Amino acid sequence: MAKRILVVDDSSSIRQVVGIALRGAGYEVIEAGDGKDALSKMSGEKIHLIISDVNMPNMDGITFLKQVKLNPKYKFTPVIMLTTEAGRDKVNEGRDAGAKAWLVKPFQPPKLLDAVEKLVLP
Amino acid sequence: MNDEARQTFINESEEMLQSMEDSLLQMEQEPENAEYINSVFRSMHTIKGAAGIFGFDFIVDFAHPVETVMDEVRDGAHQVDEFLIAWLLKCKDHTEVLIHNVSAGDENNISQELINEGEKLIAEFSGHSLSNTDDNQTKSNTGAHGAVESWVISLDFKKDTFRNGFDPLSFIRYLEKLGDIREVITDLEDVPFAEEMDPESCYLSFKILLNSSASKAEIESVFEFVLDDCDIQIIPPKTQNDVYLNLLETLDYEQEKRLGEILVSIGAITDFELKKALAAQDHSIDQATADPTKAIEPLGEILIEKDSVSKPVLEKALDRQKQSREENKSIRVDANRLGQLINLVGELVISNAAVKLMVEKHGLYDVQEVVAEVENLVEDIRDNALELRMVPIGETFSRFRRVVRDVSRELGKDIDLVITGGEAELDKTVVEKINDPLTHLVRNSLDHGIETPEERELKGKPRQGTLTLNALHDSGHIVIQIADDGAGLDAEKIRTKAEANGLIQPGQQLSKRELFRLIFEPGLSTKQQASNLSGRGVGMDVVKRNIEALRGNVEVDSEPGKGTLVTIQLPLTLAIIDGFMVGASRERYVIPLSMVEECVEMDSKEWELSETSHYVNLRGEVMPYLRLTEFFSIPTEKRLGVKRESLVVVRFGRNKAGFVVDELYGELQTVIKPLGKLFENLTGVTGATVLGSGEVALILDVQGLIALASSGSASKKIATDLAEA
Amino acid sequence: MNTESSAEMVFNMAEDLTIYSVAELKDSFMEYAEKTQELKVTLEQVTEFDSAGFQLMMFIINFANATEKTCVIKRLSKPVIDVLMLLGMNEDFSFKKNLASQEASL
Repeated sequence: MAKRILVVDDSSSIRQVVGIALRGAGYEVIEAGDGKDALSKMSGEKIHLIISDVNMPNMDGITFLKQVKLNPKYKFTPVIMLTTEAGRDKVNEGRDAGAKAWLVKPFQPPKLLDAVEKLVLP
Repeated sequence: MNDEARQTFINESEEMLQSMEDSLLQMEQEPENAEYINSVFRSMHTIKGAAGIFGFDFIVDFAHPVETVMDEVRDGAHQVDEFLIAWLLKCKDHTEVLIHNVSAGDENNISQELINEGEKLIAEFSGHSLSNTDDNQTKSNTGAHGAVESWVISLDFKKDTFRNGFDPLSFIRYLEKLGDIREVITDLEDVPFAEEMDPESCYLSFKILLNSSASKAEIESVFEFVLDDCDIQIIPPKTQNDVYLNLLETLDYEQEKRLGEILVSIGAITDFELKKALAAQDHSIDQATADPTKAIEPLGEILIEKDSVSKPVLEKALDRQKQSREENKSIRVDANRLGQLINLVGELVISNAAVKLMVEKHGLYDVQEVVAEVENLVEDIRDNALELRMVPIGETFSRFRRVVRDVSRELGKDIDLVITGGEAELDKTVVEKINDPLTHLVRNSLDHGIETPEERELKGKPRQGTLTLNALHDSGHIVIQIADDGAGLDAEKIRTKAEANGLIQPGQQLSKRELFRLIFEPGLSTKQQASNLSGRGVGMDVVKRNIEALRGNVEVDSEPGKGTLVTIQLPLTLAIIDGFMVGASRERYVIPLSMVEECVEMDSKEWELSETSHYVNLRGEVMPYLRLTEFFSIPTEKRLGVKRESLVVVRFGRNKAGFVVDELYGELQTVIKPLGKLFENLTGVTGATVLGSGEVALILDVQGLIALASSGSASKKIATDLAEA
Repeated sequence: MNTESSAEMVFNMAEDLTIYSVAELKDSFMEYAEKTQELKVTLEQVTEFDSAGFQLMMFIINFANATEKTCVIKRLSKPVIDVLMLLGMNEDFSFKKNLASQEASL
């Protein structure tokens, strides 16, 4: 059974690159453009991993994460946060919200895949 | 199976093995000749096929991977080299042993040992080929051909691992990408077997034997996300230790390196392990600073304790470090020339700041990156230039051996000098200036501190007294300690004397520390009869002045009958500091960054000024404060409406104070330009600096200002106390 | 999904034997274990199995030993076998390579 990954990023090109890499490795991918969009797309579905950007319109990554973690269904879902070097101060806030893995943008798809596979195998 | 068929199989296989050996030997002569490669492949292929038909699975299991390797060789995936041929010969020998088992009729009793041996042999090749595909690794893995021994990875997961979204099995699976997992030992000891077991808590720990040619850092990176959730130990295979030893042997140091750097550079420890060990050492430094009887644990010992590195590797590294120190060729350079260089670097720092300013002003974003790079380089040059003038303090310490010997003889005392931390380095200009105060302090200890052997015996102490000189680095400073196990300071005598001299009011309440601090006041000697060596305590005030002139600090602590400890804190260099720039009205000031504890933004509710008692209350902590505009009597601009002030909390030694400023500008590098003779007596300022914009900013004398702030509020406090009385 | 047929008293482990379900599964197992001396657990439905699931399995075995109950773990599914193979514990469950759904008695 393919593992399902939710990718939340407002940049459609990042979603595309990430999506191609993950699908190629055998994961099922759900894409969302911001926190709100992601919440509605999750709607109770089983998610094995969340990859989320921090800065997004409508609902930013950290607010989104806090919302997600309120749902017992996603209490234990691992989260990889994508951050830019400049957003380092967000890391602690994100950690408290439940994001334990971080990846600094920009990254090459293999680097992302490495990070993903350490957490969830396809 | 009938005996005839068995015999056929054996004969055929032996023939095949013979032809394989012949081809291998030919291959040594002509590695490129495809015919020999094909022949070897065919031999293995045939043996495997026949063994399969006869159901000799143990032969198939071994022959199959060998055949695969040969197939890959045919495709050009592996090079035909000495290693490959040697390995194939070993495989041929092993196959022969397996077949002998068949001819002996033992095919149903193949020992586990034999099978393990085969697996080991296969692993030997995969270990080798991995190391060859990765060019970066080739060098560090030379000599690791026989990486048959395994890495031992211990993982002890913490309770919250699952809750944090981590699945230990995922990491172990991922580990398979780096090599061959030989064995996993799952430790279930900690899993409770009754009601209290919380299934969402992780109780698991694992020991994994991994055959891999990956480096320690690569293995550790598998666990990068759980470094906080898991205690990880990665112990290299024995063979890997030999690799480290070899690397150490051949390592060529262009410049002296620290122990940690050496071990990281050869891959024996990872950055994370070094960071953790250094943190542990910092902790031990803190303890040692508070209690000089505790020794600072050397980094090497911490690393051994944590099993980060093996003892032979550590010893070798220490050895090499020492050797390189001795080998390091040195040249003598005129100190003035060095000084000149450092001045120029200072100018460079300023010019670079100016460039940065211009780039920002004109919004030249594409230039910013280049400027940032130049800035990094300039910083490196600055650090390197300053390092040129760094000398270990050990030499200065050693000079006191003679002093201690001569003086103790003259006074009829028996005193042992113990020197520790002599390798701590600081700027030569500082070393030169610290010699005099240090001499004074040592002589004081010898003369007033340590008692005669007879007196000591009466007090139940060993006849021989001990004087300890110690040095250590602590966050951008060097700390020098002079400790003796003598009579200690007599607080009451100091009080009497100070009252007699009018230094304090009779009956004034003073803490022990404040009382001891009085010995640095002019004209205070506690010894009734002054000796000709350290005089009448004159000197202690001079000592203090000298040290303060170096932007340093001196503290004394003592316990009657036990001894005295003098602690000196000094900056590592006098030329350049990292500063924090603030603004008061239109003026700019620089505070040495190492003294800044924290900054609290304007209009924050976290702090509150009490103008009447001259104290600021920051989250419940009360400290004296100074308003820079008031202190420097700057005409304040017309400020409309709300005052927008910020608080900078500074610390020197144990004292804290707050500076109230109008603006926080942030960090910058500052080259200290001494003020001219004219301003020599200016209080509250130690120097000036030219900013990138050409403006001049004054560098604040934090220590002096703290003292002023404290005394200001202290006198007020006394006044109010008196008023209440 | 963990059903207990009263005749056989078998504990049928749910499809999802992971951190998401272990708390609940442990509770229902403890309830089940109170009723019988012979613990029988089947794993044939398990499609998702993680470290927390593995840990619960080990708990069940330890628990049986501690309370001196017999314990049979039956019909291991592929995901379970994969994990046991990875950890080299296939021997402990006395089943052979390539043979899924073997009974393993302990």
